[in-house]
Amino acid sequence: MSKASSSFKKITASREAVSGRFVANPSDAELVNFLNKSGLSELGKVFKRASTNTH
Amino acid sequence: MIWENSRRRLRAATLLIQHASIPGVSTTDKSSYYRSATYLICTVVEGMVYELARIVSMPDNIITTKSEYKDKLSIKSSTLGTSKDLVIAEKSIIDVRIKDDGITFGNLLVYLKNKKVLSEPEFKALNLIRKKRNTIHIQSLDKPDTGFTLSKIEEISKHARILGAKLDALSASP
Repeated sequence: MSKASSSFKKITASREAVSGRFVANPSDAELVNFLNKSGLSELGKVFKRASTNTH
Repeated sequence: MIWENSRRRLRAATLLIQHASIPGVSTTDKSSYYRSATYLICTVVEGMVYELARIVSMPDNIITTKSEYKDKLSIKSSTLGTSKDLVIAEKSIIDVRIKDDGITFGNLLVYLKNKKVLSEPEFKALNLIRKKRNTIHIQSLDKPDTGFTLSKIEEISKHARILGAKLDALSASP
């Protein structure tokens, strides 16, 4: 692995550690996962419920 | 429909929060992201309050009443020497339904508290959320529009979650 590639992976890992899995067009499930990892479990719960949209 | 549209707004709020978490975003800009997210979640809370009131008030959907006055007799001030004209009016008590003009978030909260759907602490917390939602009107602010945080977002979300559970319980009951 090149030094540049290694640095990039470290930066990417750092971004993910801080911001969760920060990707374009995340699914609802990915966003709920981000909320839970960020300590926003109440928002995660209501968003998860809204995503199931059974009514 | 309430859940489908709530999903859209909660998704938008979450995307804003995620953007705020990008390393290097300033505290001021984080608060700006959180401001928009807060208002989005407040609208979800208001929508759920409306839906709860709509279901609880079925079939007539009467939320409150108001007095209406129809003038019957007017006496000019000069006749009796008063400073203003005097009026005798016929008073009517009118039902106000949920879709009528003038029904507010505040009216709906009072209705749900009176119907025991909301406890007193829930009513007070939701009333604070109503006031927070109203700060979207910039002309009503008398201090800097700052101080939006994740902990406040989580507190508002807790009440959205509780209202959602009440909605589900009502929908499941026969």
